[in-house]
Amino acid sequence: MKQALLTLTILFISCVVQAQTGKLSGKVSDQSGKAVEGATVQIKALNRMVPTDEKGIYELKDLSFGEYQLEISSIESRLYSTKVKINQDVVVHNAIVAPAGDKSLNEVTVVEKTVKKAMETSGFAVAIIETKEASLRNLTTNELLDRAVGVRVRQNGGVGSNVEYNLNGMSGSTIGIFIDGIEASTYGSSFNLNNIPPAMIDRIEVYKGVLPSHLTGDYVGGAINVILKKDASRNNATVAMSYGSFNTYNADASVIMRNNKSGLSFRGSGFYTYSDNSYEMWGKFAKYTDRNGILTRDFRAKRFNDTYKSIGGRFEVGFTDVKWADQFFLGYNISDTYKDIPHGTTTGQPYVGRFTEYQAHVFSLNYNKNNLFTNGLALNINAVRSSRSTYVQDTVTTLYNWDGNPLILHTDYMIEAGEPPIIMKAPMNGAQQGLPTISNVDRKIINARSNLAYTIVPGHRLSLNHKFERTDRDDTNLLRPVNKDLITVMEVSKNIVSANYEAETFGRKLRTNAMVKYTANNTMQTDPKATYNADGSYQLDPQTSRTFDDNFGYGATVSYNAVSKFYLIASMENSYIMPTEEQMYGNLENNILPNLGLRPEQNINYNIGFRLGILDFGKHKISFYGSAFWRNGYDKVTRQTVDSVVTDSDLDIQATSFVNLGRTQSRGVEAEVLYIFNNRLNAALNFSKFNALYKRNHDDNGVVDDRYNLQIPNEPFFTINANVQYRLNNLFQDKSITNVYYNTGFVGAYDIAWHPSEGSLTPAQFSHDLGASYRFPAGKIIASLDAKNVFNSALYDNFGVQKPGRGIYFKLNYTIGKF
Amino acid sequence: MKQGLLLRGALFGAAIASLTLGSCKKDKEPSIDEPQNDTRWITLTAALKQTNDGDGNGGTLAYAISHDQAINPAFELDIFPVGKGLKLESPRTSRVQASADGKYLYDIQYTGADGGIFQKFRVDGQGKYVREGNEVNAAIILGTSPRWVKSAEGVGVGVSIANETLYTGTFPAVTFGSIKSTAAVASLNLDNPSILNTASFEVPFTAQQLAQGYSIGRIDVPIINQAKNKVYIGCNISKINPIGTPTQNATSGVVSWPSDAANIAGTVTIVLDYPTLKNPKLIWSTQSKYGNNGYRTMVQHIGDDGHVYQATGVNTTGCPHILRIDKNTNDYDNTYLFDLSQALNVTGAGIKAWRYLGNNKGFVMYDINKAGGYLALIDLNTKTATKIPTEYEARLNFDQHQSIAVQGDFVYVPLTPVSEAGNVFVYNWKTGVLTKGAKLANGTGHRFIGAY
Repeated sequence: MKQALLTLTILFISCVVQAQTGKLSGKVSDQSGKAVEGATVQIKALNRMVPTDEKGIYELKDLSFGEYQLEISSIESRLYSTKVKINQDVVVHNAIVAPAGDKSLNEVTVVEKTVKKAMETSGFAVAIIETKEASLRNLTTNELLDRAVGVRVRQNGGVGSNVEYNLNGMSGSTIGIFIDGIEASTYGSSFNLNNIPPAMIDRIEVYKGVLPSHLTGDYVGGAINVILKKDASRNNATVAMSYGSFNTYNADASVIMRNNKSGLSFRGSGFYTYSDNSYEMWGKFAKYTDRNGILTRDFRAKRFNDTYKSIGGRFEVGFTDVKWADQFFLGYNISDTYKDIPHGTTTGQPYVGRFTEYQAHVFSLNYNKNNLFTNGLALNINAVRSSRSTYVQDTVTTLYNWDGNPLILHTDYMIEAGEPPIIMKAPMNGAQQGLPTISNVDRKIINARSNLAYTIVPGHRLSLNHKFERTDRDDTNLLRPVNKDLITVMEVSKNIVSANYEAETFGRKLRTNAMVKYTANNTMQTDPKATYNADGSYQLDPQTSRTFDDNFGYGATVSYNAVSKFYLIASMENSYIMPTEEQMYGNLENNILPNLGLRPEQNINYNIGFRLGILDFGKHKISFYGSAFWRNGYDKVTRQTVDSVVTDSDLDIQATSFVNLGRTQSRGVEAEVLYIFNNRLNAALNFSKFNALYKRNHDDNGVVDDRYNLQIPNEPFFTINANVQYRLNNLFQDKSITNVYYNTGFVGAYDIAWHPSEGSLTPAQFSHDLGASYRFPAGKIIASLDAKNVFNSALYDNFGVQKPGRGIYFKLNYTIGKF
Repeated sequence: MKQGLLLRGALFGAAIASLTLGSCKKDKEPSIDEPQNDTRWITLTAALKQTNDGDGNGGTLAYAISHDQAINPAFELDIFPVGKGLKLESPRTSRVQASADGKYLYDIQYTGADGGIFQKFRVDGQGKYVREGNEVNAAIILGTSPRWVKSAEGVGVGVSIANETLYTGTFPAVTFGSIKSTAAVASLNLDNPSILNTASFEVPFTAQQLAQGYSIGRIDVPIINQAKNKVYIGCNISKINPIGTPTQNATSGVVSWPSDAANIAGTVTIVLDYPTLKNPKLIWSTQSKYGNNGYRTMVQHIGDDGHVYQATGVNTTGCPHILRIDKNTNDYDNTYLFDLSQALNVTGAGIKAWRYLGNNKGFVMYDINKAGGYLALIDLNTKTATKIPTEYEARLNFDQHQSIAVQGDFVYVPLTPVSEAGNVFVYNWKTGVLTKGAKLANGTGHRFIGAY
């Protein structure tokens, strides 16, 4: 790896003629002439950003000659934007910024939209979700994602329950979930989208289908990339706390400090989440069994066994905007989660005393530098070493009813015969799910991504990516210890090399991106080959076998700015993905059984769409987005209710396993309309509808398969989201800002079985959420109130697990400006 | 015999009645759609595919036809269109039972959201099945993939078993102790659905048998004897070699010893008192060495002589044996053995499903060396058999077959190779006439698995 990078670097240095550079500096002051400290000065095109010092002075070095858009923003001022020309060694540009008025927030929003827009018109089918507003409200990151166009978050219950993401019908391992470009699985279940508060997040990028080279991996369905806050431009601290229904509370805090002279920076943030998830279920999947074994359905039951608590912190120290690095950070991330497992894949039987604990210690290194050695060469390294553990315990053998009491059988016959009542124990020596278990899985993961990009001439950029991932997994059975000398050990490592070439041509109207990807997987299996002696001692003769598997993929994106504000975007990809460790070896805590026979799946994807806007009609602003996709999956890996327990010794486990489902195809459309009135009213409407179809046309005997082209069960295929936000100024108090929100979501009915019937249909669902936030005049305190699922509808998800009913949540945010 | 005649008469009467009613209907008000209670409906079931062709894991479809339809080769039936038949809600093929008169279906779902839940349906003909009575949660005793059958008219019995290997020492230095087999039994009231009684007990092997490594891995097909005072539960007996080299499962940590199936001394049945479900006893036959727990079908039937006839090996090997449990001693008649291979003068015959017909005759569905699906009429007294050839026999597979319908002189079996169309075959066991009746359409990966 290192060698390859070095070679390349040398190659570039030797090939490229030194380009001319200059320095841009100046002073930022307000209209009274007072220096503005801590304003952010940036040239977005170069991804360069510096804060002003206490005298309002900024300096940007090593800028290639050319014309740039310079932007200056701060909490105290309006956005300042101008063009600057670097054509000599030193260019001075002093700026006078206007004070922030009532519109300052909007202005910032508009600026961010341009970042958003730049990405959204890059040719990728990408949606950018901004978290700024959500962070002030009682919204979780998953809820935010669920509202985005074409995204369906399938959650198996309340706060902290397992989540699967569905991007226009693609789900499971075809979707990459990243935190700053590193697979979220590296951080483990204790630091994931379930518990990272929006306040820690800068933005979320949702790619559908084709991925940019910095996110390459075994993903063809798309990716969700969570960009944590990077900004270290000024000292500040925030705290937020919220409390709400089902005894749910959240707290998060963050602090950013930077020494302007040395560039030494510190970023720290932490969160705590707790919920009893004690919401009521009353749908058809909630059951009660009486003393005669007679079953009552639609039993109104409060979940009593679903506590979730999670605590985590992230601490980074390093340098920003120093000579040798734009960013250099060493980080430590710690997280710990406790979670009850309240039931199996369905809510049929409540579990009591089955729980899991996750812990993760993650060390990270982040380095990036533009214009490294030479102008136009940028290096970005992101490396993470994680040590995480998962503990599962399930030793309670008593069966419970959904009323929270042990299940007692005392039938009419037993009473007549004078027999005592029986407290029911799990059948077949079992615990709540399967045999009693106490197990611990330790994983040591190394995940490193490096990206070297070179701008050959403006508008032509070549980049090379390398990703390395290795997982060592160590399972310990604490209930029935296993002699680890005698265990067959498996080690999997993965290397992905990709290259892409981005070009802007035809007066920057046409943007193209072509990429190639090579994936290599190594597995090493060590079989101890023990031979036993009569006295029970043994000798080992370890035999190591290795496998190597590689494949090749390619893709391309195109964006064409046909007429003003109208962009045509298209992308395609052809690649393979390997089954994940979890899909092959199973995962007890998620009720997933192993399937070692899984094959890699191949996917060929196409996306085509457009973006129009923002069209500005004075007080009215409107933008449109529409996209169609066509995805072909071969040997698609799909989750299916268990059918593998067939041997005599197996217990009946309510679980799922992953299977290859032959050929599949998903075709569909998604669209979004955004409307802004007078910078006060924001409205958005989006929908996604697709057909995920079964594509085997003939059976093994060559006879036509009658399921050909049928919808694959258990995929929600039609979703609509709408939200409206209205801003009121000076309500109750002068200079206060009040926002009110309304959000509604619709999920069309879908069947969970191939042969539909009444009992297997997951009904259509409508949810309505209301919210309001109030920003006090000083701007330091924001209070918000949210009511979710206000009409208390029965909302279902995976395998008919009911989600929370009406809930009210209150949140307070406090920002300590500069110090 | 007398009963047979009576039923035949009734059936004939029913046919006339239904014809008369049918023809009258046009004249009467069209709103009258009375349940035709006098028709003897024959429910056919088909196992739906889930992932792989023939896996039967997509649930079960049921549809009822009349005798006249069953014997009519011009009658074509496609039960697969959505909403036409009854879909029994179960991710995998659930165990369906029926009352002797075919008027009720009893079902316990197998795995999934409602695994282990009992439901009762009134059979009103064609796709009309009406849920009646309570649903019963049998999963609390039997688990979500229960083994159960109708053990007598109006009574269902479900069973489950679990094993625990006891040993001393730490792996690999371990010494075998015994395998403890703990069984659970539940009796169900099918008339007014509820649990009647339950019991849990250790299988009473002798200390010596335990030390030799005997255990029971699965129990099934409980039958209540003619006197209604005992339950016989079929067992899959197994034996390990206590002095073999043990192995440990790397995930579960369970230590096990190698199988010693070759040295199993016979086959066993658990006998319990009924209805108390107490006093477990183990009875042994040395005539056959395979399990007698069936697979998805009932393999124990009461003969006209009051003895219970029990097929062995249905699950694992497809064994040709039928044994007899004496009604007077509630123990095996260890002198009795029916051997289908001998009776047919073939090798490798394996009974996959069978049904007692009366007059010491039985109807057998079997395979040869685990291939094909063949029919035969057997005589348990003379120990003879007559093969009943069908055109599909080489392509059939009876692994999942659940039930054979018998009404009067007629035996009904739907035969469809996986993914292929087939027919209902109606066999008159008195005259030996086989009728290739109603034509059955099929869908990819599905097959018919029973008649009731």
